Amino acid sequence: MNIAELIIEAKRGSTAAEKCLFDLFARKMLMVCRRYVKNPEDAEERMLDGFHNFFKSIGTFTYQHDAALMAWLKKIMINQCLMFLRKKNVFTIVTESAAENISLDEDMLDRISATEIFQLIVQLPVGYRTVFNLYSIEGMPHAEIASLLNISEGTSKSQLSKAKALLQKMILNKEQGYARQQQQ
Amino acid sequence: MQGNNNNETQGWKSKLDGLESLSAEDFDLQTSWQKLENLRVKSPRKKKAAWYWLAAACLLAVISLPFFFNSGKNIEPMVKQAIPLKNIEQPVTNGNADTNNVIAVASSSEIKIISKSQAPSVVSAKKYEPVLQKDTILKEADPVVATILPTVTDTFQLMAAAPVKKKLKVVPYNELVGSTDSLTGDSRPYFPVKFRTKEIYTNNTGSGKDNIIRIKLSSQN
Repeated sequence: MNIAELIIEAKRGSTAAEKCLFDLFARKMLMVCRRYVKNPEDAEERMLDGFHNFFKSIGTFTYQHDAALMAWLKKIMINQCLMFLRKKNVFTIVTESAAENISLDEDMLDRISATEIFQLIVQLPVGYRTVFNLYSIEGMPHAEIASLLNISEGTSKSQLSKAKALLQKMILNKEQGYARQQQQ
Repeated sequence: MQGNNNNETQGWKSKLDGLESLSAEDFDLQTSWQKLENLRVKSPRKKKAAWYWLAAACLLAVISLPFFFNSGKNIEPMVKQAIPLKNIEQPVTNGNADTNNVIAVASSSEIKIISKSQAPSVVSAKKYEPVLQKDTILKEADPVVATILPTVTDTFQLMAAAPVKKKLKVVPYNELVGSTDSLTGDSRPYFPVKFRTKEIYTNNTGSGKDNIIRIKLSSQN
């Protein structure tokens, strides 16, 4: 049974189809939630809430292709995470002027694995992490991020540049650590 | 800037999209599904149903309130006033006209509108006999009562004593001239006649066969 058929069955209320969809996407969605919410238990709860909302509103979803379904699911998960972060009042981002644009070295990205990148992102402070995730990974413009997080565009840009600078530093530290290990 | 963002996004996205789980972690799908099932069972489906029931009850209460209040009024005894028979002047009608269906009677010089709030008036050429005879009242009543009782001379006096609820305006015939029927081209004027709560316009004096009655439908009525 392909995803389109699973969606149709889930719309009819088939628990088996829902379980199949959950099995297919749960891991990916958990990783999305983990990028925003550091605590694994909290991230799992957000993922479960997201799936709960997804199954509740699946009647309104029209399946076109897998990518659209993934995008929709991701959006639900991100919204859940942002709601959670807002409730926890972790967005105590001080208004800052726009910082200079720092671009990360492309070769640097190639040198490290996905798991390492993920772990580095999770280590970022919550404000940096959220803006970085929304801008660099989800591809949202600063205006949208600003309205989502209730901050100014300047603050969003500043947070992003700081996040990038910090990431760069962390990656360099990691590489130096590898180099030392190899020398020894 | 936007192009730069797209390049960056693609780089990070392609790296992270393939990432399904961290090697150090073991995520149990079955346990997680069980949690989701529990979450869905807890979800307020019953609460929703309760809200629907509450809404239905409120709606029912709103609908039944007017009936509830009106039912109290129905207990009160209805005092039906006797329809007073007025001393009607002998209408001047044309020869063989059927006077049973006539509501308003027009004399040659003016129209007198006769109306009663209780029922449609029917004007007939009959003369009403007095309902109570003077002699019978005096015979059946006690001598003491007879002295108290007012002497009823005839029905006309009784009717004159009855309170008239609504005085309708007497419109001279000349004032109505000028309005013609756009449909029939009839130059006879229409005049309003109150029929129960409706206002009826007619130019019928009861002489012709084509009796036209127009009903004005207004929000006031």
